Amino acid sequence: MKRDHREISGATDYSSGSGSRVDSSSLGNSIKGKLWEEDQDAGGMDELLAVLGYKVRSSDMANVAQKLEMLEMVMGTAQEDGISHLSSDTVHRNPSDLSGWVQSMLTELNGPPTPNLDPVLTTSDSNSSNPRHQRQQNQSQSQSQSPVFNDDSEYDLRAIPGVAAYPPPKSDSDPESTRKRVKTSMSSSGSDGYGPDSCFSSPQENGIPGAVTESSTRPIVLVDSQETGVRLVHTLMACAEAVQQDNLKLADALVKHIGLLAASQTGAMRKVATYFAEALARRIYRIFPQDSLDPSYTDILQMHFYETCPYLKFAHFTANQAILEAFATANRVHVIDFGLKQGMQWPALMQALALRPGGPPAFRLTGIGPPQPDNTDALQQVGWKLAQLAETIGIEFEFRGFVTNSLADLEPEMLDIRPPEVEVVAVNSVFELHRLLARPGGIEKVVSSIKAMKPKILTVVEQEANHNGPDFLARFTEALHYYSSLFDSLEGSGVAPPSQDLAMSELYLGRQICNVVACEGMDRVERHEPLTQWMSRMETAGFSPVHLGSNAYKQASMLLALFAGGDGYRVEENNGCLMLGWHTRPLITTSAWRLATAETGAMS
Amino acid sequence: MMQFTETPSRPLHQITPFSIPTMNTTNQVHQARSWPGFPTAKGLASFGDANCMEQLLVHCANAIESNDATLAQQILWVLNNIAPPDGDSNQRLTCAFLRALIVRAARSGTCKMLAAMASARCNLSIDTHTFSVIELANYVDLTPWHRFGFTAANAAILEAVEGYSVIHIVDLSSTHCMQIPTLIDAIANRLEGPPMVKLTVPGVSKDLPPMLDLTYEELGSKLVNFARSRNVMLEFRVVPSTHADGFASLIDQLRLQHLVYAETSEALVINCHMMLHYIPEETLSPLPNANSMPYTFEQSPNQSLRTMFLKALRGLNPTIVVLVDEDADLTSNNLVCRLRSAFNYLWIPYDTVDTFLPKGSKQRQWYEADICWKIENVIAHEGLQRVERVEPKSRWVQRMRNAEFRGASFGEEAVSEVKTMLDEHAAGWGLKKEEDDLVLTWKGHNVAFATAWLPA
Repeated sequence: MKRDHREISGATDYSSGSGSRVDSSSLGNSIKGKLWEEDQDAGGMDELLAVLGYKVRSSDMANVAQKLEMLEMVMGTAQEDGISHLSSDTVHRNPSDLSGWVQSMLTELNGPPTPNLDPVLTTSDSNSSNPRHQRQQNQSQSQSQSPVFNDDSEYDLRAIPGVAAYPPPKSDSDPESTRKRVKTSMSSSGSDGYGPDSCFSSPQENGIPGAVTESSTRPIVLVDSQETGVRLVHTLMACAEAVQQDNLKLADALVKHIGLLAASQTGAMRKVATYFAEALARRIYRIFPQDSLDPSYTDILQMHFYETCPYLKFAHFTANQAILEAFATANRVHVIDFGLKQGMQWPALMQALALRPGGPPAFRLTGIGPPQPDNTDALQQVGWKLAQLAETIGIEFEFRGFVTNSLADLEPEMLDIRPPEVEVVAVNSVFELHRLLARPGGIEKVVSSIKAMKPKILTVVEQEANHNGPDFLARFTEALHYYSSLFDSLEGSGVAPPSQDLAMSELYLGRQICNVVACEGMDRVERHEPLTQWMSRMETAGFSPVHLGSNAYKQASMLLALFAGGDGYRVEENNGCLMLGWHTRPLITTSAWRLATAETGAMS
Repeated sequence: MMQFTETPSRPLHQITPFSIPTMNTTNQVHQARSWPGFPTAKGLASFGDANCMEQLLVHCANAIESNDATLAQQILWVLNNIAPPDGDSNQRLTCAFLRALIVRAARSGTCKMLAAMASARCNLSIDTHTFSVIELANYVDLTPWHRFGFTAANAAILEAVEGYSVIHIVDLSSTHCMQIPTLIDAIANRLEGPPMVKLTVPGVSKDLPPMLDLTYEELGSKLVNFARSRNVMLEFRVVPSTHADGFASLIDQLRLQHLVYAETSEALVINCHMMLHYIPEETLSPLPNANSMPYTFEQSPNQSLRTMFLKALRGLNPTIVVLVDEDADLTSNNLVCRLRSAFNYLWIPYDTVDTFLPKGSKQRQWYEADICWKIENVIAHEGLQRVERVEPKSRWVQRMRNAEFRGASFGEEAVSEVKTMLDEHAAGWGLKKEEDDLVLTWKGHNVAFATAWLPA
């Protein structure tokens, strides 16, 4: 799993880092496609050429048979040079003759392999081959018995418009799936290196690293599902790029392909790819998710997310820590919770307040939440449960619920806030503020509302990611990284795999993925931004950061360490804020704020 | 404004249960989850801080035992915030239990505690102090906790050994013979002149607090020198031995001596000071390998080491056995029972410390670290590693009777000496006489008992 994860990061880091960089070694794979496209109609060929726009770095291609690479590069050059006869060239069907055929092609083209000969390759036809290539490679893994050049399938990359986003893996009938993922272990030196035998050996043979094929000069052939993982990521990226370029036909073809590739994967990679494929499909086919999904269902999903992994617990503990400290000496305290959900954050704080040295303060909670489709009063039910707890532990409690579709509709005067000398106010927002970025002026409105509430402390928990850039592809790439890490951490969280909690948590994250990828405009509400952006926004708005102390850091670390299950979770301190991440990647951030000095002075 | 449906603003706990039918099934599923007493009305009903803390600790222990990570984390968070290590005595007590629960959770194997704790720079290890002799003597002098037993035992021993010219004292004590100088002092001054004193101690290999920075040999030579200064001939002998096997080699050694010296006029004094509770008792199951019972003379695999040890003692036909120990029950195999029992006993040392040690003093850190050690041993450990198996007086009395000892009463002398000693300490300390026995109390709660026994 972790290796998969690395593969993803490595590969996508590259692609996202420089979208235009293309390595020549990956070009011209179309020749390989042609090898098996030969019996398909000419339209298929065009379609194949259309499947372009794909970028790979050379290291990824080190595992491609060198002979073919040489040939392919030549082909790529040739195509660009307008040498199109190759596309329609007769292709040998007899595998035993392949080597000779390849050699003859090389001879004919007489083009020495020149890496990076085409650094920028963005037109749709110049990029044609790679997705095809990937597909070949990936599908080849699942099976293998049949000879490669079977024509027994009608698989057609054009596929039928309107089918499900990603067809079920029909590997058995796919001719491509009979192809082997081939990997060379050495750089090509001889001219004859790549024979059909090595190409088409059984997966058992191929699966053995270092298996040597019959010819001593032959490259070693490997099947590696992690390579498939790389292909999968690349195909996702290619599809996103096609979406970005509004090349929906290509995107359609690719998104179908992603499903097949994902099927060959296991664990987090498969899941995350499937959610991204679904999201891409929704965007391509404009089948947008119903945003008006029952919020109580969202709450339920979040509860499972809470149980499965430490992110929400971390959010609650760290925010509560800051709130508790801000409330230290107050007799009356008032928490305004921007997203009450099931109220999971508050029992612990109430208990801590109840046992506070010097006796508990009166605790007031204002819970805000979305309207329920069945008009049930979900907030009030949560409030009622909290009231019972309050009575049990002997703390004076007052609750009000506010139902609103957007925090931007909230007017501070509605909250009946008492003067600071009467009650100390904390405003708490866990994964809520980024939604306001979808609405013009939304965040500005809410920030000014918060200021009017005169909180002693504002606690903000946000996803540590940039899913709000203007560029779709960049957003997609970032999200792919982000959610890959999250899904990876879920896998490692020690929950037994057939777990309802786990499945529901994935669903919870899947809905976010869907929103980030498929939605636009007001519908795209998962507009996560990184801490740096929130910091400048908050500071511009007149807030000063409150450093979360080392105590909070220690506690968060300790609590995570005790029950996190996996040892990949990391708490780190960043500018006085606390971040929880998976391995080296921070995933959520808790920050705390107070009104800047001038304003508090004016206020009091 | 219009977009809001504002809910009633009155405090909810004044609202009678409402709109139950609208609660959908999914909500009900999750209602059972989340928080102790949320919404059960019982549990934290008594609002005393100590009670609440005990209740939270019990909830936490249950959550840890049932592997309920969410609940355990929540309670740990609360406890962490309400029980600072530098708080009042209840908070420090709770903090020590909390720390012990964390250690227990960390030992349960489901977490990668050590690495993460290291990275968080949290230090769970207890900094138990290794005392010098002077420090330990001062430390023991600070509170009646040990002095009570010393005083009562010495008085009883003095009375019992009257007329003997050779006194063999077997000192089974957790305090490294700190009781002995006073005893030698008293013996040196007796009317018939000083006897010869043989002192035998078990060389316990594993250190139990309080720990001493001397070897037994060094300690022995100091004691010999001290005795010489009082004109008492002292023979000091260490018999390497451990509580884990019921001091088997010590018993063997004593049996040998008993065979040799039985006819002489040597008094055999067995002084057990807060040590016997380290011997495994019945709740430690299965018993240490039944095929290798430590006592060579008796094979009774159905009896605990504790029982067998007392029987072996009886076989030595001692002149007197003094048994002093803490009066609590920390033997339960049920963690929650043990936690409650320990919490309701070990508040006492935290409560008393304010009366004799200033906040922040080094001695206070040593003192509290040793209590912490005890709490951790009771809560976080199991099996042979859990050595703090304190039993109440009533059970020890029963054990001694079963081993065919009969109780000997402490005389007026002993009572008055203990009272005099207590007068030097804080007002909360008290002395109770229960039948033949003496009981030390703090604010009316039993702390330690002293009993004296003769072969029946």
